[in-house]
Amino acid sequence: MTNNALSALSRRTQEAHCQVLERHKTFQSALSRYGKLLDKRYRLDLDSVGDAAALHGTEQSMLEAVCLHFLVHGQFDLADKLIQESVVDVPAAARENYVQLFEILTPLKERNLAPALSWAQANTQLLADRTGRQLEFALHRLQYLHLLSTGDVQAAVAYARAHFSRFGFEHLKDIQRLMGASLYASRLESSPYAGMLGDQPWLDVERLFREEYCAALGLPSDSPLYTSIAVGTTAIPSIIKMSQVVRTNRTEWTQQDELPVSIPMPDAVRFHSTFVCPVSKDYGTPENPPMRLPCGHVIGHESLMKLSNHDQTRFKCPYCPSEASASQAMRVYF
Amino acid sequence: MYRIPQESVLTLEQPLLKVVPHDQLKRLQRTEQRYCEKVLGNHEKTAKKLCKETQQPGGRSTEEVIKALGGMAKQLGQLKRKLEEIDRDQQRVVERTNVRLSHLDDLCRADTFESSEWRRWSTVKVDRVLVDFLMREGWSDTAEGLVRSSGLESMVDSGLFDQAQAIAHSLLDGNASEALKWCADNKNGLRKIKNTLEFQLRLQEFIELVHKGQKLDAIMYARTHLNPLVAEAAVDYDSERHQSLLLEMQRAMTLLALSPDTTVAPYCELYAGDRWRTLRNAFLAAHVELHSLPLRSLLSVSLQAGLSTLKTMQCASSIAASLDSDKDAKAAPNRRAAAQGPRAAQCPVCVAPLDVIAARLPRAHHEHSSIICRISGRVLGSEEVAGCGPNGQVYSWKALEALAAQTNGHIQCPATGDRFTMQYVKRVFIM
Repeated sequence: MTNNALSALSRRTQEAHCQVLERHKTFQSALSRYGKLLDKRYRLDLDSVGDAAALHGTEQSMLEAVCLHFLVHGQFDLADKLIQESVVDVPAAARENYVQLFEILTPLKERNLAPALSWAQANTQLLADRTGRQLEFALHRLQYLHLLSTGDVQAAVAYARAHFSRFGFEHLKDIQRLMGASLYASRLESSPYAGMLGDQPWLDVERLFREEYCAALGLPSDSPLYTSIAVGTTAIPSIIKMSQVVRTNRTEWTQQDELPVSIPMPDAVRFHSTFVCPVSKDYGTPENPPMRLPCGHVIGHESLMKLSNHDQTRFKCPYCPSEASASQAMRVYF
Repeated sequence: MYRIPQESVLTLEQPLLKVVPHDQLKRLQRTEQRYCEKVLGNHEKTAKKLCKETQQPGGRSTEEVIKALGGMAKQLGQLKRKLEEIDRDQQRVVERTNVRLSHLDDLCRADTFESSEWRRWSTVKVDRVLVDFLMREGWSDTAEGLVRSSGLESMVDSGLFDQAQAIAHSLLDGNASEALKWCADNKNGLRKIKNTLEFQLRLQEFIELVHKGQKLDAIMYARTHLNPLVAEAAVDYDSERHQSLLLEMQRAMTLLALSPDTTVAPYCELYAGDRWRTLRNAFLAAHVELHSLPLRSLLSVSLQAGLSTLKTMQCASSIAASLDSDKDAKAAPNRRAAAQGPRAAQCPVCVAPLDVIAARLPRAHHEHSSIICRISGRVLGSEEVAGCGPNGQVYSWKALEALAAQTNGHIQCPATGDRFTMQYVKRVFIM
């Protein structure tokens, strides 16, 4: 009796052991397949980007950049923590500017327009010089719609009288539509003016405010560090490919003035104009400035001299059938 | 039209999946297997033995069998608890892996630079880059704060650098014991990557003993610790590596004959205090290599790539490099701001402190012109027609028209202040 039970136990232990081993094997092979897949798919090695010599001695600037990045995003506690932990310092004025920005942006996110409006009114002249008072109008517009959506038509119309008249010249169409909306005050959501409501106008105003505020104080509105890292992330694969080619020529790309190949980049992160003569591929410089031919095509001055035999002969534009002489070309500025 | 190179950006993300989550799963799996094999193997043996012994006459009494069975049951209970613990850990790692995979999946939905998908993805990416930097540099409070405020708990491996930072600090204080303990804990891994950190640490301890004048102790130390390491190197590494370790050791031995104030090179260098800093850097490098992380911080690599891509001849740092006198350098920013329009002011390479970082980096190569309207900030080309006034200043046609509409047809050139009307504006084609 005991013996039977015991031999059964022995058998079942053996079975269980086998089963567990079997499962382990399955799991292990799946895991190793996964590991191999990771090795195969994610194969670029970040250390092959090139040597770090060009960045030596910039550690302090990097810390500063990180600190500023926190300020631009309103993460003041993180900036303070970093200042405390490391030995980095940022100018108090920079911090103050961003603190003020977020004192306005935070209420704006909660749909409180008052701080933003009073800032815009205090800086009317500055804003007018830049974008034709777009921000001020956008803020008044939201305030009016807000009053309207509470159902207080009289207050809304009074508000419109007090503030919209100054914008009649530039924003007449919009003001007409806004006044039309007052007819539907109690049921704006189901009116033809429903499109004026929703989150998007608020988000737009937030962005616009940020841009205008930063422009007014001469601050970048996007964190420069964010832009650089985002661009860097998309550029690293091309740079790795490039540096592998360059390394076979036994030079480090970081030791040169210019990257050996062009890296694709989006228009959104082009900040300066670069003129490249389409004929000679030389850059435009004060010595070799861009020249516009009468047909409108632009080439470098040196190419112009070559094509015209130093202003001796008329020549055909390289890009269209029209003919011109060098003296007809005009220096252009970008 | 620019498209985000999603596929190739993905290929850079190995550390996110491989380093911690995958390796951790592997480790857990190994522990689990070892446990099961041990306990179940024992179990099988005991069951067989019991079976056999009860069959024999005069074998075990029932009480003894019950006691043995009780022991087995207890062991099984322990195994079960242990497995449950491992299972919980595995679940956690799998959850982490899932979060990371779905983050990478998000990248596949971001195709243009302007899309909100890319904005969202790159915001997380930038935070990850910053956390990596802060952890490597040892600013762990800030790193933790960022992880919490951005909800990156599953996305970064916070603990990875904590221990390493403590050891790095102890090395700067001239104490090698923590680092040596770490070497012993990771002996196999370090051997696999052919790292000689332990030798360097031992060598330093030897030098310190000589420095203090305890020459006999130093010799004993070299016998017990340095000799075996050199002998080991002869087996593990190529002969070149072995020779260089041998040479280093011989040099250090020479110190026995020289006082600490010696000026004879290379021996005076061996006595130098900044060797501890070198050791700290060697340790940190060994630490990241052991976890197959890149040697440089992601921030440093991304900035190098990004700033070079953004840098142009017009950027402040390029211009500063080409100007000799201070006077020119001071006048340059104003002149540039006036001449280049509002868009140029947003250039990351031109603002402090990134301008310092970009100073010695190469600038981007351009095969084609890229001209930006100084009024609208838009890139001029086939979609955005360009026009220039009689003064040769080029702007977007649409921007000039809008300017004219605002001011009754009289355009005032933003760069020079010249006045003209649309009828004098001519087409400009940039190839």
